[in-house]
Order: sequence, then structure tokens, then C-alpha cells
Amino acid sequence: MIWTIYKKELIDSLRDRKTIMLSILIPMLFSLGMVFFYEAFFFNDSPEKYTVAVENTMDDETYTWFSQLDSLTVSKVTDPIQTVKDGEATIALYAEVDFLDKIEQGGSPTIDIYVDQFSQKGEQATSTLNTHLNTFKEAVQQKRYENFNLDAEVFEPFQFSINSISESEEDASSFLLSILAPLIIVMSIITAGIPTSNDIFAGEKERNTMEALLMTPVKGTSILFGKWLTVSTLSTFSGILATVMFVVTTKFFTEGLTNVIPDDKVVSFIGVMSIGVLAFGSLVSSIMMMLSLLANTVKEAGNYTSPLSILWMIPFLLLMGVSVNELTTTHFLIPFFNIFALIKQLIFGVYSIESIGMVVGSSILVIAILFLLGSFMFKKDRWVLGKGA
Amino acid sequence: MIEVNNVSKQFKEKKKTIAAVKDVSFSISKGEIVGLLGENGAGKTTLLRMISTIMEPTNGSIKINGIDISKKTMGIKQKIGVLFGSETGLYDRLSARENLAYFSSLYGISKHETNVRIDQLAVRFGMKDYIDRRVGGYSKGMRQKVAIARTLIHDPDIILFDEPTTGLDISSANMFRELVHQLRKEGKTIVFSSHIMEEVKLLCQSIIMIHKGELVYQGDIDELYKQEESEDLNYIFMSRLVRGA
Repeated sequence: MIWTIYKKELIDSLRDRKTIMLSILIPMLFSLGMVFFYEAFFFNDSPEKYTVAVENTMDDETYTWFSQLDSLTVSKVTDPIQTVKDGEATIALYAEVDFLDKIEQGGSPTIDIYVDQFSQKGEQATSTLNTHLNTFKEAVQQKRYENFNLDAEVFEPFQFSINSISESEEDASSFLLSILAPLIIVMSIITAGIPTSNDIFAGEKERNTMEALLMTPVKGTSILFGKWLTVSTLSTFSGILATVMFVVTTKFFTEGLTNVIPDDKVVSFIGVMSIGVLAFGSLVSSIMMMLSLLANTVKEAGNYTSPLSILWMIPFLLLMGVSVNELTTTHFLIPFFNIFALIKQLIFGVYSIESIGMVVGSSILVIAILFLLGSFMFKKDRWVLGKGA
Repeated sequence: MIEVNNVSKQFKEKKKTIAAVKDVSFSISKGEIVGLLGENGAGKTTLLRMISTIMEPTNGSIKINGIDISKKTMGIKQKIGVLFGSETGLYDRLSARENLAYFSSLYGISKHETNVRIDQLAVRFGMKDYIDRRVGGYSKGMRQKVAIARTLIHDPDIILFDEPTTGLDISSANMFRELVHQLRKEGKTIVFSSHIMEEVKLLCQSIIMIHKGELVYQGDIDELYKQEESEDLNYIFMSRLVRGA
């Protein structure tokens, strides 16, 4: 009987083309578009040029010096700040008259820089200009120490450097993918299951088909299981499809991200990810099932399930700043957190049976609890028949 | 034989308890056609839901052929066919054939037997031309035929119709009445709720009247005419409601 119900529900759901398009294909295409966007944004080889607006009165020597700095285009204007406000330059720079000449003469002229602190581009431009000015400042200091026969080391009692433990540029790519992959995969799982779940529980109550179904000599648990299996199948299928599409896109259509998942790990990645997707998809489906059972109409079910499509962002955001070696057992035991932890591990090339076991085990436990609760609710006519009952 | 003994049903809504059916008792003999009369909200649907096993009474018991339906639910379900409303219980994205086949398989009927029954029902209800088209595109009358066919797919002995002709056009309603006559000839026990007195008068041998969840009358329709010295069922119904007994 479970198979009969499952087969019917699956056919019924797949015939709803609009829902399939809106809940599976469009979110997936949108997500994959994000991969291209991220790559274009973070792996852009051509350095960006920033426009620096300076006063018309700037002397030629100073203007020429600024103009030859890398990544900067200097433009003389009447009002540099207004030019930045108008969006025609990124930085407004005011240098003292005869800036270079005064330095040459041992003076200490000033430079005032104005930038929109909420602009990312402004921040990057300031950082670039800051680097150039510090380099120049150090060169001038060195020269002045020499002029006074002083040892520069006297004025620098110690030196230190901060280095990354990341071995290669691929770690940056892995970090980027560890943000993108959960977004794409988890979103695909959730969006694919919601319409079907709303339709086959709350929708059946609304259309009164649930009554006809309950009139048949089929156990409530079989109906519940058959329907849940349908939602799980669609969620899991969507998640696995998203995983495959994600791997194919990064491997074949990107340059900066292509080596994050090595060629010999592609099958393992998809395989292990599929287990995680199956566990998470089944878990999410049982939550959706419960929410849909609580509702009397599809609209009401939509009200209950829509927060789910936002709430998953909480574990995602909480784990975003956690590095792969900071992940603990707790992360893998808490449902919803664990799928993000697992994806992060896999992106960084860590394949741990313990982690997968914890993800699957904790999901099964929660699913079993929700099923017991769902079976109880399915026996009560106020839940199974809706408000009219 | 249906025996309803002191059945009550209460619903809890927020902090209030609403009694939908209050201590109702009646019996229906095999092969009888009974009209269940009552205003909207009188408790007709709740009563039919309890007889059809999909809702449990708060108090009392219901027996079908001497078997308590709460104890042999699955077996009883095989004997009952229910149609709530005129066109419910259908899946719009499935064809009529797929709808019927689905319910047939849920009743445990073999594939071969299902196909035979679907073909018979298609002929009986004149559905052959559209049986393979999706139900979503059907007219109200077409949907009603499929819904009735679904109710009869497992050849039940007892058939419960809840307001089956509400919202139907004249020809569809006539088709339904003709069907009830045919089913009567086949020896089926039929209970149908309605608020159309003429329909009840035409089809039923006996009636059950309920008002605000309480039984107002149960018995032979001709006996009721004699008691009230009138054959105007509308008038009788209203006067019974006023008297409350």
C-alpha cells in the first residue's frame, strides 16, 4: 500500500510542472549563476583601477607622482569631495601645496583622504593608496636616517609578520565554495519539498480528498509514510541534482574554483554528499509533513513552512566563520547544523565516516520522533480532517 | 444493518466544547434507503463521518452487521462507500481512470478486476469519452460521475452520500436520483443527507431528522405523513424542528 500511495503521489507531484519549475529548476539555475558571479568577483585577474580626485591647484610634480601609482587614476577637479559624492571618483585626496618639494626639504606635509566608509570599493581603494603611501613613507624615512647617519634598526626595536597557515591559493577557493555549496544544496532541498508537502497533506484536507483516502482500508501510518516518502524523494533528488550541477559547474565552467574538488575525489564527493542530502532531505521532509498536518489549507501550510525557508540560514551563518578544524562532534550531532558541517568538511577534502554516521544517526533519531508524533496526529480527526471536523 | 447507539460527538475549540451530535440512536435495515435531514450544521456530516469510521464518537457505539466498527475498522471500510459533497475525493492531475485505479488498489482489488470494474463504471456513467483525460478539466457533472464511480469502485454494501446534489445542475441531479434507484434494486443500503425535501420524498423509504445534533424523528416516511396529517415534507420538517420532537 505504501508503494501505491508513493507512486500516485509522485506522479501527481511531477505532473505539477509549474511547481517543479519554480521550486526545483529556477532556484537551481539561480544558485549556479551565483557560482559564476562569485568566481567573476573574487578571481578577477585584471586589477581594478580606482579614481582619485585631487584639487585643480595640485602642483604638477605631485600630480605626476600620484599618477604613476599602480591601480590609481588621478583626476584634477574643482571639488574632490563633491566628485566622490557624485560617484565620479572613489577617493578625494587633498595634498599640501608642493607636497613632494616639502618632503625633499625635510618637512612633514599632510595629506587628507576622504572616502565613503560604507563603500566596499572605497575601502579597497583606500587600502591600495595606503600601501603606496606607506611604501613611500618608509623610503623617505630610510633616506632621512641615512642623511643623519642613523641606523634605521634603532628606531625599529623588533619586527613581526603575520602569516596564513593555508598552504595554497586553493584554500581561499575552498573557503569560498564552503560558503556557496551549502547555500545551493540546502536551498535546493528545502524549496523542492515545500510545495509538495503543502499539497499532499494540507491540500488534501482542503480538497476533501483526505476523507476519501481515509475511507479506504489503509492504515494511517502507511498513508503518512507513503506521502512522506514522496516529499523526501523530491527533496533528496533536488539536493543530489544540485550537488551534481554544482560539481559540474565548478569543475568545467570555472577557473579559480576548478581544483577545489580534485578529479579523483569527484565521485566520493557526490557519493558522500548524497548520503548527507538523503539524511537532511528526509529530516526536512518530516518537519514539513508535521507543519502541513497542522494546517487546514495550502495557504495556511505556506504560512507555516515559509519561515523554514529562512530559518535554515541561522546555522549556515553561525558556521560560516568556523574553520574546518574547529568543527566538533556537537556540530555533527545537531540536526540542521550537521549538514552545513558535513558540506564544509567535504569541500576541504575531509572524508570522515564518523561525521557521516553522526549526521545520518541524529537525523534518523529526529525523523523517528517526528514520525511518532505524526502518527499520533494522523489518528486524531481534528488534525487529519482539518478544522471542519 | 446499521445500528447507532447513544452516539455523541464533541469538539474542543479553544476553551469551548461544542456538541455536534448528542446521544443519537437509530437503526437502518439492509437494503433500506434513508434520508438524513437537517439544517446546515445540524450534525449530518459528523454523523456520516462516524458511521464511515473516519471519525470516532466521543460516546456510544456504532455497529454494522452486528460488528462494532471501532473494533473491525478495516473490515468495515471494505463494506462502505462514501461520497462527501457532490464532487470531492478526486485528484485533478490524474485522469478519471487513474483516480479510480488508485482507489481500487487501496481497497486491495487486483489489477485485472480493477480494469473490469472501471470499464463497467465507465459504461454505466457514460464516462468512456473522457475517462483518460485529467479530472482538472472536467465539468461539475463529469466530476460528480467520477466521484460516484470512485465511491462504488469496491462494490460496497452500504453507501453514504453527504449532500450529493448540492450545486449540481438539473440533469446531473436527475442522473444521481436514477443511480439511487438502480442501487436500491441491487440491494444496497443507502443513507444520504440532504436538505432538498422533494429529493428525499422521491427516493427514501424512511427518514432521520436531526436538529442541533439531536434526533428529532426516525422512521417510515409514510408513517410520518400519517402522524402529521400532511404530505408536505417541508412543513413537517419545520414543525418538527419547532416542536423539537
